[in-house]
This record gives sequence, structure tokens and C-alpha cells, in this order.
Amino acid sequence: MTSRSSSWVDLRENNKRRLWQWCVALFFLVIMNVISFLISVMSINTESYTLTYGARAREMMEKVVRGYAESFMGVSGLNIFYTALIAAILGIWGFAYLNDRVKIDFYESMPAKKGRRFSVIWVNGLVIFAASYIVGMLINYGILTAAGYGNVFSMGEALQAFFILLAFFAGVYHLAILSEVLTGTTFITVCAFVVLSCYEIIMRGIVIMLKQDFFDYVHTMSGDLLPAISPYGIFGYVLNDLDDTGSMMPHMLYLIVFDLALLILVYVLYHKRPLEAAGKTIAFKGLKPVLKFLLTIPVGLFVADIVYGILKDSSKNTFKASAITIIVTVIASILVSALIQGIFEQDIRLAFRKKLNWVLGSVAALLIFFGFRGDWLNIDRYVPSPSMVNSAVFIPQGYDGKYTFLDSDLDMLDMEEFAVRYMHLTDAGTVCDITRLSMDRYDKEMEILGEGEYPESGMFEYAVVIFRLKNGHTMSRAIQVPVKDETVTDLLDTLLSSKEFKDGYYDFNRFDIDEAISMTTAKNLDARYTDGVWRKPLTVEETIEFMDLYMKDIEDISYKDRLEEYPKGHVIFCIDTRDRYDRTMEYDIPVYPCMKGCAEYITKKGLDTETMDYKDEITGITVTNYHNKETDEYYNSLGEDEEPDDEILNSLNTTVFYDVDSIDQIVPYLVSNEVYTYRWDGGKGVEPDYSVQLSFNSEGQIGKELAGYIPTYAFLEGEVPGFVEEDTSIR
Amino acid sequence: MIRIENVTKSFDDIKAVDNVSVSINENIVFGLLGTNGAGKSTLLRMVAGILKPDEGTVTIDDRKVYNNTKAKRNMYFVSDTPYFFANGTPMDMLSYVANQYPDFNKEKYVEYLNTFSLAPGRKINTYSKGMKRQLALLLGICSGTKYLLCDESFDGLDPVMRQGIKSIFAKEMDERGLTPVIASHNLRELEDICDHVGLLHRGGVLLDKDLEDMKLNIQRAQCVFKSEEEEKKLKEKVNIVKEEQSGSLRTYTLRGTGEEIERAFGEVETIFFEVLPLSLEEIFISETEVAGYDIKKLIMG
Repeated sequence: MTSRSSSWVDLRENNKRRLWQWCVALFFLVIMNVISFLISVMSINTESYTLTYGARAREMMEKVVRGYAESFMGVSGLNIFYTALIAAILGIWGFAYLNDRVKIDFYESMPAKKGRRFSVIWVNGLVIFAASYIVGMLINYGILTAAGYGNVFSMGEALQAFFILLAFFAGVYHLAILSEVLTGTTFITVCAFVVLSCYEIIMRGIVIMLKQDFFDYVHTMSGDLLPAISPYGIFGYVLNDLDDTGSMMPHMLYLIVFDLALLILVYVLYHKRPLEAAGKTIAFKGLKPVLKFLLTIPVGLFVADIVYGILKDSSKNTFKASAITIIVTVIASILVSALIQGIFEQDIRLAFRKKLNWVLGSVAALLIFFGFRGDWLNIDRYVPSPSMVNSAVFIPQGYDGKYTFLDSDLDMLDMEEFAVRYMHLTDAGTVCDITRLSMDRYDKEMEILGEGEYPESGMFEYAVVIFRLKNGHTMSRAIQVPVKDETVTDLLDTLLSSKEFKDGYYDFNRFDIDEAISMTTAKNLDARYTDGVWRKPLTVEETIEFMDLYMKDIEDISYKDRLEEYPKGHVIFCIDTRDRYDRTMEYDIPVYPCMKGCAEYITKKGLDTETMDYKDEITGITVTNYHNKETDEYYNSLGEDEEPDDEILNSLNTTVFYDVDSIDQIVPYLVSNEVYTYRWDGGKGVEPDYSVQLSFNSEGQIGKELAGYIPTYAFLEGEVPGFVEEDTSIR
Repeated sequence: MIRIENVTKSFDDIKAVDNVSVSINENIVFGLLGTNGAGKSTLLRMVAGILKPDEGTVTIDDRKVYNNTKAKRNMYFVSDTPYFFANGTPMDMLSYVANQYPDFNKEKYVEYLNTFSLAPGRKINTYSKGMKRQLALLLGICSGTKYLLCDESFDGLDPVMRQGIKSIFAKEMDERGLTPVIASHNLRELEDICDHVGLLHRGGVLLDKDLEDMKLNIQRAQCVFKSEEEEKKLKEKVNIVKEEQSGSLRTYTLRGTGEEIERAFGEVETIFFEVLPLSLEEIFISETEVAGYDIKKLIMG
């Protein structure tokens, strides 16, 4: 008979046995949390904020307090750490009696059902965590309200955080109990918990390492390291959802289902666990070879990869490198296997037993290693067919000079995070074609290089492609795109000119630019336009007007429109972000002639120096031709021990043009080096051989403004005036 | 009745209990004797439902005991190293154990604590080893169960305490038919308390007998015969287990009741004759020697 009252007595009795666990939970979740929160709130100096922010002081203080509330009452790193730590302690030490024969004799001889004993300990663990957390949360909420900030963080938000953390707690708690029921001593239980917690992430890390070493195209996304079958990984996905605007429910449900599945597993194992396992390393005899196998493989793979990497770099003999790798891997696998066996037996003298395990562990590690090396499963070059793709992401690294992005809530994201969140290209066919063509061209290029020849290729630019497959999976490829290839250019024009791409690549339409800029004005907006000579400041209104025009221009122009153009200038300005580090984001926006709205606005506002109209102020143009190609050829023609001839090396020719005619002829061909930026699209660039410096009359308007600064210029590709070319040729 | 039938239990490669069959009747004190490692604790832990037999069955009143709370409710197990809650007091133990055993007699427990001078509110970790054993036994006695399994529980008890516990056993057996099962490696510990003894050796049962029967059916006699003819005559009439000679004095260990032995000696001519009582230790020595074992090495601690 199990009455409710006797269960209550059991719970109460169990609690008495777990006083120190209560103390740990209360220490972290109440004492530490509350004191830290109290100190943080009390440290806010109202006067200082009023002096700094004036009318916005209250708003800024609320922002700071909200940050504190999120840290101590929300799903913060601190609370996650406390939760995981307490879950591990409660899980391991709640069931630690299983490791003690004396306690087993006492408890297991009592006429209580195993299920009841399990549920009493399990429920008590939950109660210890939940009660401590809620007490801490309520006190913190009281502090918040008493300090007059009750409005910045609602009780609903605090409770939501509690339930999310509770789901995470349950996962780690069950993992800890699993470690307990699988092992027989507390030391081994703690080790098992660490291994269970880290195993998937270690395996993923090793697989990523192997992919990076042996695969050219497989790309690792930041989320790939997140384990999908451990509470940590699933909780990581929930955290990502929390940061995103999307719903976290699917991942929360997954976490809850995972928690339940783990609970059922530990419940069954608890019942099946032979009680004589107390004091042994592993409770279930049959698990020993499995565990040994599972632990030997990652070590074998890691060693194989390191050894092969060293040998491959130091020797060109692949066969020799492979042979040594096999030998070292086998030795490493045997040693690990023996070590684990020694731990199992609790006697290192018995370590070299079970030799079949050596063979299995070594063979498995080597098969996986060489499987990666040879891409036996054709993973690396695999590109899905468009019919399998739901949507795709195409990330040209640094296209339009962008590397960091702002989210709708002014949080700073890297390119991949932003694109993954907002880019949904339905034209999967074009993405697949670009991917395949890029791989083919790059393979060919490498083949030619491998044969010792220099390919006549165009340039390759790095891009990341992510396919969201219809089966729910995501696969990613890192490719080198031959941007000068005509077919590829056409495909890129189709893709990068599309609205879908622009929606997922340009962040300006994600947030309220007026608000963002006006927020920045509190710290003086540093917006300016430069064409290489002038740096003209823009007012807040001008910046907002310019940005409106820019967004429209981006919408109107195509990928190809800019290919033959060179930026006429740049607008540079900063926005204060709202990310946790309060960073400032700098925008550097190139203005191309085809961006008619922007270009006209710049001219209309008189922001262009139109330097070239001030030819009269130019006193001389210094052109230097470095003859890079000839110099390279000369170097290549030198024998191994041959010293280069200085006379030939000094043949780079510098000519200064002083006459007005020459100046008039050269000036139209010049572009400012300062406005040239890296171009992913391989568009119009400058002649790399030439460097041009303009000298201005120091008494003139420009000369005065430059105050001794000598701006550098260049010629556009293929647009060097003939007489300049002739005057600077090798003599 | 506790019925152990063909029970075997191994730990890895070691067979701790090997095909043991023993029945323990109600309302007796059953002594389970054996050397260290003989399998006593393993057998008791199987009877207590802690360990699951690899083969065979253990039943308490016809109920399989493993994982069976109903069967366990009839039994209390006092381990060789009794467990008490850290910082717990006898009253804390009462609270827990009474919750597990509905028939726990709290008044009697407190009474016994006083009788044995065990302060109810004192922390158990300040008790001596003997006091802890007493407390463990008292918890078991007061649990109200029919069977009380004691694993080496009398080791370390002083004679006064032993006598006290023994009296309580007698009282409980009389009042409610308690059946104590006491495992020990020392025969002397059991000699004055057990009704029935099972001797375990190397996982198997060497001997399983009622002590009274054993005592009644084996005797020692000393005599001096008038002639060798008389000695031969006697040997035809009695079942000699052991024979010793010191000069003309013969010492026999004989099977049979005192009366039977006296009658047999009455029919031969002796110069001197006397039947002497055998201690339990001597009976065991004789019985196990018959089976080919040197019991002195096994259980005379």
C-alpha cells in the first residue's frame, strides 16, 4: 500500500538526506543570484546617468537594469551554468546510494517499490532546484520592484525563463542520473557524466576537423557543433530561437520530448541495474565493450588526423604517410583500449585483456579516417538537385564590402547568421548551377596547378552556399566562385539581382533607419562622404535622405550594372547597436555611378570635390610603373643560386608630369585609391602596376585643405593613357 | 517459511552461492554458519530481496521475494555494516523505518532504547560499534516483521547485550512468532541462541540440522574395558563417529541418544564408564569431520 501521506514522509525523509544539496542550490540560486543582482541594481548612479544622458537618463537606466534582470532572472549564461551544475549534483548524488553497498542493503531491503524510491529521489531533485530558483527569482523581483524598475522585466518573462531553464535542468539531471545508473563508483559516475556531456560535441569536432582536412567544399556552420542528441545541444537551439524572432516552441518541444525519453531510459535502467554493481566501474557488464569501442574511436581518429597531417606536410610520400598513420593509430587505439580496460577492471595489471576490442577499435577508427580522406561516400562534392531544395542561402563573402550586419532589433550579426536568418532563395536551380560550376572550374584549376602548370584562370571568390532541404536537413558548401566566367556571371546576375537575395543580404530594410540614426545622434553621428580627397560631413537629415535613396537604388540596380563601374565615392557612418556589448557598427557604402539616386544626391549637395575640375591647382603628377609582370618573370627566370641584378630590379620607372597638357590628358583617367575597395564581383578595378600621386599648389583651395597630405590615385584597368605607358616603360 | 531452492549466484567469474537449498521454519532461531566468503551474506541478501538469484528461487511464505514489497514486508534485514543516516538519531531512524513498515512498534522501540541505554536523541555517529549493532537489531525487532535477517549482527556485542537481545528474541518469538535468521562465521556466537543451524562452505550447504536433534543424537563416552573382547562387543552395538585412545582409556564420539548409549555400555563389562555432554562446537567438529572437513579451520574463530 502506498498512501499519499507515506510518499510525503518519504519525500521529507529523503530531503533530510539531501541537506547539503539544498545548501548548494540555495547558495547559487538564492544567495549568489540575489546578492549579485542587489549589488548591480544598487551600483546604478542616478546622478551620473542624469549628467550623461539628461532627459534620456531614465530610459538608459532602465536599459541597464533590464540587462541585469536578464542576467539574474532570465535565460542568461550565469543561470544556465548554475542550472547545469545543480542538475549534475542532484542527479549524481541523489542516486549515489546505488554506489554504496551498505546503503543498498538498507534501502533495497525495505518493502518499498523501486519505482516509488526512484520517484521520491527524482521529484526531490526537481523540487530542490525549482524551489531554490523560484525563491531567488521572487526575491530578485521584489528588489526590482522596490528599486522602482518593476516595469522593465515582467514576471511573465521571469517565469518563461524559469520554465525554459527547468526543461534544460531536466535534460542535464537525467543525463546525470543515467551516468549514475550506468556506473558503480562516484568517481566513475562523474567521469561518465563528463563523457556523456561532451561525447557528441567531441565527435562532431573530430568530424569537422576531418572534413576541414580532407574536404574542399563541405562547410561547417556555426551551429554544426551543437549536438542534436544531448540536452546541451537542443538547449543551444532553444537559445538560438530566443535570440531570433522565430518561435522557440519546436525546439522546446524537442527538448521536453528528449527529457521524457531520457527519463524513461533512466527509469528502465534503474530497474534493470544489478545492485551488486555497487563498487564496480560499469553496472551493466554488456556495456563494457560498447563503451570501450565508443571511446577508442574518437581518440583513434584524432591521433590519425594529427599524425597524417604532420606527415603529409613534411613528406610527399602519401603511402609512407598512410602506413605510419595506420601504425600510430593502432598503437593509440590499443593504449586507450587498455587504459579503459584497466579502469573497468580497477587493476592496471589486467589492462591488456580483451584483445578483440583492440582490433575492433583500431579498424573502426581507421575505416572512418580513410573514409574521410578518400571521400568514399562522396559527401564532399555532393550538390542536391533543385527539386530536393526548399530554399537556399548564397553568401558572397564581402560582396559590397559587407561583413557584419544589423538585425531588426539592432543586434549585430555576422554575415552567415544574418543570411541564414533572412535569406530564402527559391531559385534553387541557379544556386545549384553556380555551386556545381564553381566546383568544376576549381577542380580543373587545382588539377592544372597539380601538374605544375600555371592555369589561365580568372579569379575565384569565396562564397558559402546553404541548402535547406525538403527533408528538414540543412547542408552547406563553401565554394570558390569563378566570378570572371561568363556563364557564372550570368547566373550571378540572375541570383544577386533578385529581390529575394537583396532582402536577405541588405540589412537596411530590416530596421528603422531613422530610429537607428537618431539613436546614434546622441553620440554625434559621424557620417561623411569621401571621394578620396574631401571628407564632407553629412547631417542627420542628409544621412537619412541618402539612405532612403540608397535602398531604392539597391532595389533598382542589377549585379551586372556595377561590374564595369568604379565607385565615385563612399558614404561612411556609424550606428550604435543594441547588442550585449553595445558595439558600434560602421557602414562603408560605395556609391557607383549607376546608383543614380545617390550619385545625383551627392552632386546636388555639392559633396563631390570634383577635384578634376581643379586641374589648375595641380602642380605635378607623379606616375610610377612597377612593371610587376616583368619583375616576376625576371625572378622566375633566375637560377636557384643566381643573384638578381639590381639594375634590372630598379627598372621600375617613375615619371613626373609637370606640363599642363599632360596633366589635362592624365586627369580624366584617374581614380582615387581611397575609394577603391575589395570587390567580390571581380568588377572594374585598377591597374596594379601604376601608382599615381598628385601634388597640389599649397596656396590653392585643395592644397590648403589637404595640408601636406598627398592623395594617391590609380588608373582603371586597361585605361592607362598611351603616352604615360610609353614614358614609364622599361628603358 | 523461508524456502531457498537450488539458488545460485555468481559475481563475474566467482560463484558465491552454488545450488543451495535450505528451508527455514517459522518461530525458530536459524543460524547460518560459514567462513568468510562462504556465501552467507550473499544468501541473506538474496533472502532480503536485494540480490536476484541467477538460478533458483527464494520465497518467503510462498511469495518470491525479489522485487516483491509484500514479501519484503514480512522481513527485516540487518546488514553486517548497518546503515544510519548521516547525523541521524535513533528517532530519525524510527521515523524512516516506521514509514516503511506499517506494523512498526514505536512504543516498544523507545522502551528498548531505554532498556539498552541508547539515548533516542543522540546522534548515531557518536555511538560505539556495539551500540550501533544494538540499534540496528532493535529497529529490526520493532519493525513487526515475521522474519529478522541478521548478518553478523552479534559480532562485537558484549555478553550482557547478547543476553539482552537473546531475551528480546525469546519474548518476540513467544509473543508474535518472530523467526530470527542469524548469519555468523563464529559458531560460538550462535551456540547459545540457535535452534537450527545451516553450515555453508564454498557456496554450498555442508550441513543443515536442528541443534536439539544434533545434541540428542551424538554423545561422547569414556571408558576402560575389562578386556579387548568387551570392546569388540561394544563396537558391534554402537555407531562410532570418532575414537581416541589414551592408555587403556577409550574416548568415543557416538551417534545415538544418551539412553541408547548407556544401554549399549550396560551390556558390556567395563572397569570405568561415563557419558559426557558435547558442546555444539564438538558436535560440529565431529559432524564435519565425517564429511571430510576440518571444521576448526572453517568456523572456530
